[in-house]
Amino acid sequence: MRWKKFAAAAAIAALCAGAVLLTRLFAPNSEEVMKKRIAERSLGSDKAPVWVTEYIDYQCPPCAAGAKLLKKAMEEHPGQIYLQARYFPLPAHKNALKAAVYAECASRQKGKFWAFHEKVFENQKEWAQDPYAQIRFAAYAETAGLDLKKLDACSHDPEIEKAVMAEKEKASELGVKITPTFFVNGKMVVGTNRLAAEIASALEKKEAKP
Amino acid sequence: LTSARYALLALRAALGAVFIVSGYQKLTSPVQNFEAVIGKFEMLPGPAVSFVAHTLPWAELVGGALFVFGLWTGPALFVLWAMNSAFIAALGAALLRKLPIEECGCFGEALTLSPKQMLGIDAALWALFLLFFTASRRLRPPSLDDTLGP
Repeated sequence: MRWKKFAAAAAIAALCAGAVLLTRLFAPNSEEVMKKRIAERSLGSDKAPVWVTEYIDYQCPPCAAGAKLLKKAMEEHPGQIYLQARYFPLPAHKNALKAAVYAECASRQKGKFWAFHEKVFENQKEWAQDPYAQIRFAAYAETAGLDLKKLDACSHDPEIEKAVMAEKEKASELGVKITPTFFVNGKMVVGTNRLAAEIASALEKKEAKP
Repeated sequence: LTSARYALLALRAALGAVFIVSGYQKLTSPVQNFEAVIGKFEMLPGPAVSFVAHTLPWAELVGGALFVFGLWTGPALFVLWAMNSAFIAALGAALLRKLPIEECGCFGEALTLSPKQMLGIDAALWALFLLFFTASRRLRPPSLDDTLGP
């Protein structure tokens, strides 16, 4: 009878493996998504050999650290990195969605996104727990040279929040769960610990763009 | 007596299902997510993090499934209970060391739980494993082990 138990265990294990493999089979391909370009939220040339896409939550401290690291990498390797920013506001961070909405509105005023993006990260501790964070965002926007009237109208447009959440939904389909998550030439890197090493490795390989 | 046996069967199925969901969620999400979660606990060196991230979800899934069906119930119970105890130790140590972990990552994308909440759930599971272990020695719930023989 022992063989019957082995056969049953093998069948159960095969069932488990089958369910997992089937789910993985229908998971979206990250390289496909990497092909999309968001001009307003990109830095560098899309001809660069290394493409980095960052999924950020503005209220997450490691995301601020990751943004600094990426800025440094882009300065050290001019023309070598093409960077895209995408939103992934986590529900645990009460001001993260608001920050992403303002950032999206900043991106809709040509050329203003990155200045606002940096200001928001630089002052993260100041607004993270502030119930009136939008007042601070407006101040950062003013410093970044944004049109405040347009920004105010945009930030109250429910379509903007929908667009941010749709971007997050797409990221979830790719398996993004934690922030920051980066894709370096299509390879997923979660957290900042391995980011510098992955960028260095991609620069060494000078792989063809995804 | 019969209803008590079926209650134990339900308990075994529920305990196994927790591990099936936990393992399945991790296995169907990119392994980098779980590696990052394990890394946050600062307990294992790099290569061990990767090894655990690749193997532990399979142990959860297959161990949970064997336990649900009551196949090799004893060894499956031992493996699940050992994992449960290890999770309690890791979460407890993280809380004592005040590590900046906001979300334990225990259930992949299915459920967002703080380490404190997860520690409470793990402690409850530990007690339920103890209850099952004690009660199943007297009342054998229906299982494949009994159907297929020794």
